[in-house]
Amino acid sequence: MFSRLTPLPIDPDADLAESILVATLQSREYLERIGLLKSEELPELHVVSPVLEADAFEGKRGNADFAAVHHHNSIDLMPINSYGGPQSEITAILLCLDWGVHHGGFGNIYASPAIMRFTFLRRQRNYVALSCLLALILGAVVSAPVLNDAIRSRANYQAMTLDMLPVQAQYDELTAQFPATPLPSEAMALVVNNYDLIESQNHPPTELLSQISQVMEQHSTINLTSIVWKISADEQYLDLNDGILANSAVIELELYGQQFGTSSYENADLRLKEFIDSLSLIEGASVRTTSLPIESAPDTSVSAIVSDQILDSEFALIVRIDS
Amino acid sequence: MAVRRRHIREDLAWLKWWLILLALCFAIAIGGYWASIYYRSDMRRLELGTRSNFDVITQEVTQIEESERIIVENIDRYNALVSNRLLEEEDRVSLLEDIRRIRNRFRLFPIDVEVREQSSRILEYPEGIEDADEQISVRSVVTLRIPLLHEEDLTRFLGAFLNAGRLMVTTSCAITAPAIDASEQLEVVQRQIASCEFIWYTFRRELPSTDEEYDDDYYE
Repeated sequence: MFSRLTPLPIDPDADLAESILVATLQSREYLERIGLLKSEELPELHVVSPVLEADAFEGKRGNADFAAVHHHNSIDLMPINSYGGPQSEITAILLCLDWGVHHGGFGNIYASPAIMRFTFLRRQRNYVALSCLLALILGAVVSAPVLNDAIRSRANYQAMTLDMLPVQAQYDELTAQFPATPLPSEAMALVVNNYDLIESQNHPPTELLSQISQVMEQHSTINLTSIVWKISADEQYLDLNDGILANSAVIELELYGQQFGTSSYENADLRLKEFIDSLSLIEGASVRTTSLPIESAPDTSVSAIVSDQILDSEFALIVRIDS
Repeated sequence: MAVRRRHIREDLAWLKWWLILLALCFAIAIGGYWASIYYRSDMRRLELGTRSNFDVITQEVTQIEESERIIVENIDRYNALVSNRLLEEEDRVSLLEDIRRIRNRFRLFPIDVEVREQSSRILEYPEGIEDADEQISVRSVVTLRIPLLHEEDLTRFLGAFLNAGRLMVTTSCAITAPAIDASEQLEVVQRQIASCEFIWYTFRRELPSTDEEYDDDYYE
């Protein structure tokens, strides 16, 4: 739109298009002068009027000062349902008013608060409505992850409930079929295992005594005066019963005897060694002497009466059986 | 001023329903949030409860299967122990009667028998078993002094005595040969003496007692 001081031709035969171009050039120069328009590039000119044709600006003075001149018929721009008056009244001003009323949202800055009261009220109502919407959206956004968790937990709960059904059925079946026992299974296993453990430590003395008898048959000069068969536990067990329950009992045999019918110290020593060797052949046996007929070790003192009498020497042995 | 107050009242009246709607929306939002939290905690409780039940049942099924396996493995032997009275109180009269019967059967010299007082010991469960009933092994030391005509007497006696169904562990057996006169060489006299000692085991089930003083005294 032009300034109100813009001279427009009153004569109907005057060239309106050229007058518009001239007035536009003046406005352009003014805008360039006050710095609102840059002069490096040629601007495009859009003219809205109900009376001019599209080719009305061709060849006119001032046309070359614009990059392009476009003409828009205001009658075509006005929506058909928006204005009920004659088409001749659809001018650019009417278009501008229509745009301002329907789309522009121009604020009435000149009106008093009393006049603008309902406008403010409507604005406050809009704010309240927007707050309602925001509250609902915020509530939904905050609640969504919680609900998601809840739904996932519910799905897990339902899945586990379904999974538990066969296990529960198996449990019921096992419980119903479980044999009646006088005591818990752990206690039963404990008793049986301890019975086995104790029973495994039960070595009849007669077995080893029988083997000793067989050895004795091979050594006619050896006479046993006493045999002590016993089981003993490792030193770490104070009580023999603890050793038995710890499966660490071993058999020991103490043999006390004497050798007779020989007059030679060497023979006596040799026969006793042969007897010890025979005892050592018993499976798992290790023989230790505790008393010899003649203590001939260098670190002991030896005393004997050497005469014509037949030697009758006593000895003591310990046979240990390691299973 | 009065006009302005009137306008404010009218404005508030005009906005009343919108403000109520706003309060309602806030209430819905906050209430929805709290309801979601409550629902989630409820579902989580259900989930955890079900998971816990599931674990418990699975564990119990495993335990039952394990118990069944143990029972299947041991029930026959356990019943044999029961039938041999190893889980009953010691029957010392029966022991003396058995010794008398064995002596008569093998025509042995008189046998000195001594059964000492019982002592107990709690059996230890394997690791991982808790809260089980106490099982106690009860033992008595039995000492026999058996005069022998010859070693075979001892062999036959022990063979019968140790196979009488009791859990009897021989701990020592000493055989000594006392000096005999030459006039007794051809007579039927005791030529050797066997002194044997045994541990006689039985088992007993002890349910947990609530009397701590009794327990302390009992196992000392």
